Amino acid sequence: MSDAEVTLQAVLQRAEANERTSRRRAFIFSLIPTVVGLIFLGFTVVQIQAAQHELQSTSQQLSDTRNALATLEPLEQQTKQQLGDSQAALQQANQQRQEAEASRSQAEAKQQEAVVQQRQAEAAAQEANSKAAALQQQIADLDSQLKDRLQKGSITQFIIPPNEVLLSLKASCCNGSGELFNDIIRDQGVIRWNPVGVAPTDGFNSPNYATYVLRRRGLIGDQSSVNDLRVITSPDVGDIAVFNYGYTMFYFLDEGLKPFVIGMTPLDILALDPAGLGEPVEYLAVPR
Amino acid sequence: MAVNDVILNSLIRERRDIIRLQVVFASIVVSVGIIVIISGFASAAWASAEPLRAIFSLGGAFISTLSAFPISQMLTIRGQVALLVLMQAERSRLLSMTTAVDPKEIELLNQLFLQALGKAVAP
Repeated sequence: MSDAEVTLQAVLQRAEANERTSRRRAFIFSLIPTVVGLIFLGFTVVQIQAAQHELQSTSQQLSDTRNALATLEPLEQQTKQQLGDSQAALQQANQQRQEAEASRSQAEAKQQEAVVQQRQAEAAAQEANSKAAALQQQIADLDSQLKDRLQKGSITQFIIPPNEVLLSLKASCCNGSGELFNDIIRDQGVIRWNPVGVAPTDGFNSPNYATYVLRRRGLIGDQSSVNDLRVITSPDVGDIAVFNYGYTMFYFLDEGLKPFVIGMTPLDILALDPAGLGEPVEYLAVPR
Repeated sequence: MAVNDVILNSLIRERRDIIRLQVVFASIVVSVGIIVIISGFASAAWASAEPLRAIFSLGGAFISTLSAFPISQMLTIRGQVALLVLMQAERSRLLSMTTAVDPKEIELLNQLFLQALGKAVAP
């Protein structure tokens, strides 16, 4: 074999080697994208399965939600109805609130007016109290003056002593007024003079005492007074004689048929000769 | 010899053109794969969907690996070019030696050369 033939044989072998290498390389290089493609395909399949599973789950949830929604629709209608009712009630409440506010405004105006009236009344009451205090002071002064005048002998000389009064009881009892006379004698020294008194514990003035005695004996009603008695011209034993200065005295006769009167005076309960009080203004008939 | 330098040069030039074409094609494929991967990571639209991002990455990788086919083809053709260059050199050397060789031997060399050329340029 010549040298040229050997060389060409070597070239031929090298060409064959290149061919084999090329085949292996083609196989290996084809394997790489195939493997990556399989991985890609597998991953995609897994993701699709996961997505399908999630889709099923979501579909199930959607179905449940639709069922729940269908269940809630009547409730929605009911809620809408309640909402409408609530709005109507709210409007009504607002209207009532406005009315209440108007009433409150009126009440506040009336309250302010009442406060003004109360202040005026308090001022008037204070003024009346001042006047009452002044009148009481005047009454006290007058009472004091009256007591002084009586004690200086204007009527003290006409006072009938107690013994003579007891004797007079015998003379007066025949006309049925003994019990009345006896009551008055028992009050003597117990009930005192009080120009503004209205109760036994406080004392009385003369008309109030006469009224008290008549009420206590049931001769007049609880709401009546001596002013309600009938006026007469000629008194009988037990009737009332009214004198100047308001002396309201019970009329009696002694054993000599001489008249005397007994009742409340500034010197407490006294039996007097009528001459000491002057001419009677009027006589009042006491019911029997 | 029946195969002259013009044919060999033509074969070599044709394969080098094929190599350039394969390089361009492989570069395009790799670039497309890389773009797909980057778009999967860079787009905010897939930020909340991790599986989609992984699919983009794997898809980009798959596209990039498709460049293995032109690369394999390019390497094979490079081997052919090297073999053709070697054969061209051997032919020149053999032509300088043919004056002392008888016609039978030259015919045998021609057959061997054609056989080697057939192996070298086989697809």
